Amino acid sequence: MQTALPKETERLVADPAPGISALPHDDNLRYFDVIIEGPGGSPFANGKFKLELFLPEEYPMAPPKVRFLTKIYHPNIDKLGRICLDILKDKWSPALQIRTVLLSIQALLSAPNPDDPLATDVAKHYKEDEKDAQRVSQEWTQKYAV
Amino acid sequence: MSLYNYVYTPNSNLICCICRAPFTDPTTTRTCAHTFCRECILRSLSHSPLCPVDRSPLTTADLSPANPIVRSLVDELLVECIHQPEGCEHTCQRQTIPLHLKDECEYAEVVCMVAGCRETMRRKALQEHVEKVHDKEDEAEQVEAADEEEGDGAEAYSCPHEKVGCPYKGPLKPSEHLTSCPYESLKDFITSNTTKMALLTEQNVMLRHRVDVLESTVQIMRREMAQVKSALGPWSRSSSELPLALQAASAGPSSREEDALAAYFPEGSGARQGTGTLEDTILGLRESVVGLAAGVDQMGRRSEMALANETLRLGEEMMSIRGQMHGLRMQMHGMMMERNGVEYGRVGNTGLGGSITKL
Repeated sequence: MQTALPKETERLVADPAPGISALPHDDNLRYFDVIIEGPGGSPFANGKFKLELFLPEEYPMAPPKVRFLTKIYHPNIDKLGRICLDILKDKWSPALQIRTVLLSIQALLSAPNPDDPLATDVAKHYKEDEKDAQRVSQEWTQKYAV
Repeated sequence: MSLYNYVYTPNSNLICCICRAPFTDPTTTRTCAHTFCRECILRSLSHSPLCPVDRSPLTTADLSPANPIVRSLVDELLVECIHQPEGCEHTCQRQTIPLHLKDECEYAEVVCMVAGCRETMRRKALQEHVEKVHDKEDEAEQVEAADEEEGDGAEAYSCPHEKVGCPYKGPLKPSEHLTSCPYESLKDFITSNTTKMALLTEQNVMLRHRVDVLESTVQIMRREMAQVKSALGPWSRSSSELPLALQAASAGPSSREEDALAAYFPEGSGARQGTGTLEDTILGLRESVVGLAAGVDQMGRRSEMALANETLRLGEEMMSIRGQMHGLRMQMHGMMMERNGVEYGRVGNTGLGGSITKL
């Protein structure tokens, strides 16, 4: 792991995925400041969402801990910014990387899944009136994620 | 999980997806044929019993050493010496780094082997250290060395043989203590033992490598064996029956004949005897072929003899018939002569009579 960490970080910084940036803290290489751009065509387009990512001691055997810092109106992300994503929990595999995790989160913004909700009220809204819910998401994006 | 710096960017196919470095002791899963570092996949399995790549169920029993080609590919990658930050500029194949560190690297930590010193330092400083410290020591005897230590302000002296287990710690200077130290008398033995240990450690590394290679060979053989077994079908017997079969094969000529017969019936009589193996069958077949050849040979000779006899008999018969014919011919001849004589006599008489009359 001693090599895995700096190597992976190096590649992440040198060759970032489009719309995603992740920078490690100088004093703690396990702690990353992440910015994900909202994917085009979604209510989150043009938003710049801040996240924090922390690699636990057991990484890559255990999943990284990721949390949205920017407020977001999304059925799978709750008020505290916690994310409901299977690969961050039971579906984690040591073959996954920071990059793949962040790409998955970006994809989650494109495809909200109200059937497996974390923010139940948002999920209800999305299920009952998707158009209106997307409008709210867009409003929040313009309000908080600029 | 290696700590090496690779001279060239390694091929991405040789990268372990867990530690993101070229495989160390590559291990392949038998169930889904994915390859990881042995240490990585074992750690991963201790967290969850799934393949990290495809999440299929996986246990340590499904792991086997990777293909020797993969092994060689990663073992031969060029790496920098681990003492590169300190200044060693050596680069070599990954598999030879341990040797380099052990024998060559000027920046590797070595232990001064002069009895009782045990100081560790970089190899390039060793020579100087030996000259400076120990050569002086030799001149001034060990008392001075003890004094030096006293100068360091140490109140309780520890035995120079502390490293090998002397528990002594006390006010006696090493020179005084050494006279009673049980380890002092073993000094030569300890030194030779240490060098032997070093040698053994080196051999151990080499042997471990060889065991790895052999293990992978065994894997390949086992796979081939399985293929051979499936190809043989009903001819293959479980290996536990083999010794029995061998016993039966060497039991003696009488049972061998039975085996030779059994060979023709791999299912029936083989099962009846419970000892027929492919080897036996082949042996039996070979023997029966030899037997057949002998039979054919004998038959040939017998028929040849019979033919000769018959020919002789026929020849004799022919001879006797010829004799009989001859007799008959003679008889006929006699009869003809007799008749001719009668007729000639008459003619002669008349001719003679004629000529007489002519005359």
